[in-house]
Order: sequence, then structure tokens, then C-alpha cells
Amino acid sequence: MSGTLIIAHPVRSAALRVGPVRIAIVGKGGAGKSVISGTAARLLARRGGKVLALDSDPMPGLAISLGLGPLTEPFLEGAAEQSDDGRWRLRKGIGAARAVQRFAKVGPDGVRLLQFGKATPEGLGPIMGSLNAFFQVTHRLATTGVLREWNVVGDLPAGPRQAAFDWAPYADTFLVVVEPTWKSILSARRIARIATSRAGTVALFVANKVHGSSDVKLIEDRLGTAAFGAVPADPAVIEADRRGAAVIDETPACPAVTAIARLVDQLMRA
Amino acid sequence: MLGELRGKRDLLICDLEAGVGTLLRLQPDQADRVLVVTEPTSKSIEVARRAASIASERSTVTVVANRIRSEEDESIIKSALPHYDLVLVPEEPAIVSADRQGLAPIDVDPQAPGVLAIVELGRRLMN
Repeated sequence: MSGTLIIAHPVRSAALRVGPVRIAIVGKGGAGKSVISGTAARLLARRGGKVLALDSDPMPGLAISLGLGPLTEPFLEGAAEQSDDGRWRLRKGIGAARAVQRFAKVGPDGVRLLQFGKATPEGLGPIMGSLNAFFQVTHRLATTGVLREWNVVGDLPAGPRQAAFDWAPYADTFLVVVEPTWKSILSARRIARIATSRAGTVALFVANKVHGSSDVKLIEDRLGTAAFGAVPADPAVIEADRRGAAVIDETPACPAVTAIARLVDQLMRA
Repeated sequence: MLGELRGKRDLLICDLEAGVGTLLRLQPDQADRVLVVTEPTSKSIEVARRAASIASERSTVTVVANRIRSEEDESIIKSALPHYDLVLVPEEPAIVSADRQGLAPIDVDPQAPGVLAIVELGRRLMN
């Protein structure tokens, strides 16, 4: 049984979402996943919800876009232990709620960030404990009572691999970020198909870095479906990225942040 | 596969996926040179630092600084990655336009400065 690859029009529904927003952001490298993830997480928190941001990319990104700066350490190192057979597991007494409470960094607007760490010159070996703890925490989020009302925003690495290997089990919605280029559109279609192979999930396409409605139309024509939302190409995003800062802190009223705010509102209603 | 192909072709160019996952599996004798492509943003430079460090244990590294708009951009890259051979590619509207059309930049505008910078990089690699 597979999930649904579709794709809601912005005005699809005026009904209020029953539960919190639980999304994973996917797309081709450079599409703008981290900027949209970090900004959306901040805006969800400003709308009054508790927000957990999950960075499962072994390369730096989300912490910067959240306004926390270039954090690279493996947050969950102390949450994991290795059994005699070499397998990693969460330490006794640590579940998803305690992991969030004890190991998440608190960012601007009260957003909690969990990350497993970043790849080292020796690869992922040195952070394997944190990585395994992170994976297990993500798989317990849905069944952890005190986290049930939390919004969750997951920033996945480029490509379809993590979506295929169930790194975002908390997500009912995959936001597929797509630029108006052939490479990005072809990747987005493929990633969306793979991400929604899990039952009960939907993929919503977000046209990013667009120069006007003609770019949105180009993306929609090539995808064969409507975009859920669009974020304009915005020099403010480029400038913030160059300075290693969050665009929502640097230029809060810029067109890109305004568009992401609209996306967040749509997600809360979707 | 890279190991099997070595010596059987005059030239082999391999476009690796984003990040360092594939790079970590590269063996020391499988590539004559690794090009680490970066942009003047803190995220991209942080990734490039890691990639260049990993690659330099396996091969010779050239950092390709892409989308360079100013001398300030150039100096950001140089100060962040000071110990590597460096090639600069300017911000190039022709490359953006080609990407949108699904075409090769060298076919769209072979004389564009960004394209010429990449052509020159190719010449350097062949010599």
C-alpha cells in the first residue's frame, strides 16, 4: 500500500488541521531546504506551538538557518550506549521526551533543535552513537504522549535516500522544495514518489527561488501538478546565507520570509 | 567501479553526490584530483572544509569557488580554505539560464565569463 503523491492547491481546504504540523523537507542539493525548514520552524513557534526541529543532514545547515549559528556537535552522544553485541540503543531511562528535554538546543523563538552531528574526516563513525540515538528518537516521536502536540520540522539531506530508509517516520507531509530548473524538477518528482511510498503521507511541492509566476508555471507544467506554494528568489536569503545568519533575523520582512509565513499558515490549515 | 576503470580511459570525470558520503569511500589511488566546489556562504564553506580535508588524504585537491560576485567573495573563500589550489568561477547568468532551459551552459553561451572560467579549469586539468 502506498501513500498519496498529491498535491494540494493552496485553497484546497479551509478546515483547521486536527493535529500539529509534522513535516519533512526534501529536495535536490541547493534547493533551499534548510532555509525553508529553519524559517518555517521559527514561524510555527511564533504562532504559539511547541516546535521540534530535526536536522538529519550530516552536513551543516539547519542550525544556521534557525539562528543558532554553525553548531556541529553530536547532541545525542550522551543519550546512547552500546551493547555487548555492538548495537547502539538509547540509554536506560531516556525516551524521546527526555531526549528532547535534555539534549535539544533551545533556539530563538523557543524552537528545540536536535541533530545527530556532522560528518567528520573519519566519516560518521565517531558520531555513530548520536546518530543511532537520533534515529530511534525520531521513531518514538509519534507515540510519545507529551510530544504529541508538538510541531515537528525535519530537514533531510539532499536526495531521496533518507526518505527511502524511513528517517522521517514522524512526518505526514513531505515538502518537496523545487527550483525552476530541469535537474531540480526531475529530482523533485523522483524524491516525492519515493517519500510517499509510506502509507498515509503526502508530498506537497514548494517552488523556490522563482522569478515571478512564469517560473511557477514552468515548474507546475513540468511536474504535471500544482505547487502548494511558492517562495521568490530573494537577495535577502543569499545575503543571510553569505553571512551565516538566519534570514528571519536579518531581514524579517523580506519577500521570502513573507512567502514562507504564508506556507506555514497553509500547512496549519491543510 | 572507479578502481576497475582506472587506466582504461583517457579521461574520467565523476560527479559525486552532495556532501561527503561518496568521498569517504574514495580510495587513495582512484582519482588524480578531487575538485571541491563551493560557494561563498557559510554553509557551503563549512561543507567544503570537511570535503577538502577528507579529499586531501586521498588525492590532490582543487577548490572551485563558484558564484563569485566580488573581491570580498574571493577573499572569504581564500581565508576559509587557504591551503588549497583555487579556481574562481564568477556568478554567471548564462549558467542560470541554461539550467532553467535544461541545456548545457557551453552550448548556450560558450563565451560567457563563467563558462570560460570552467573551460580554463578543464585546460589546466588536461595539462
